[in-house]
Amino acid sequence: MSIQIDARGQNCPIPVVKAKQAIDAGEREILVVVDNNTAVENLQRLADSHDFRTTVESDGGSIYRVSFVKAEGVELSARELGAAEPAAPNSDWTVLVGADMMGRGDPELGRSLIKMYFYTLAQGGELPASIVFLNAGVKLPTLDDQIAEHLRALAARGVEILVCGTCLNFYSLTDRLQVGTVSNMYDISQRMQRVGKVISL
Amino acid sequence: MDFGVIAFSNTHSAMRTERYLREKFPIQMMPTLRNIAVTCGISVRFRPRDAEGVAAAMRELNLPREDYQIYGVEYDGRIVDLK
Repeated sequence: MSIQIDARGQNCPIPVVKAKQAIDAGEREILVVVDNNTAVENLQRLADSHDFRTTVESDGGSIYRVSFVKAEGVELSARELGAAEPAAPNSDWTVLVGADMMGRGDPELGRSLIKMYFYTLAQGGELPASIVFLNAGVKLPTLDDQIAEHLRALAARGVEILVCGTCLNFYSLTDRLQVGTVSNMYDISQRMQRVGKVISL
Repeated sequence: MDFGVIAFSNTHSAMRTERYLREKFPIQMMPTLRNIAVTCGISVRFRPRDAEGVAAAMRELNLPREDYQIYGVEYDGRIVDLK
């Protein structure tokens, strides 16, 4: 038996939330119908992190049918199957960027400082596993060309760049993302939980 | 030259320079290199090909001359004074 979820017309987190509820309820086959590609990518990541395989059918327009099937013999993780999830070498930390500046005080100084932080991070030998941007932090991978350039260099070295989709939507910046993956709170909270250290800017 | 840097004696001059130059050149803000002996921790990095334009723009900006110094960083890390 499979469960069907019609999430057409539902914004960012809702399709993932409904699919997650179905997973938590023990469903092993789930069909989710959505109407945007971001939702498809978010659903695929949800599936990867819960040992589900996905297949996506498109009607050629904007409607996508995402089928989840529980992977049998479960030990094969997404990574073993070769499904993405870039791993920075030996990194056990995440950088959480919740503002478009570093520190509290003068905003212009704070924006200079955060540019220098990413400059330094991109030059350094020790890299985080992931960098998460949320709230006004999403202005950095969209509007700040210097930081976007550093983030591309970091991504090329295996650092995962996650950008809060709800926040991009809030600031009307979804179309201006220069680098990184549009993400949701499930991914963000998972990235923070599974590393030993979160550096919060 | 690998890249050029402008180092400053104070933060306000660094930030005025950023505001002025970022409209004209693809500059980057970077921490001042440890072997440059100036007091301010913020430097502006520019491309070698922009060196003349940056120097001219700095004259237009008309900061006190003792507030900044322009350097070139060679590929081997040596720092040369560009005046």
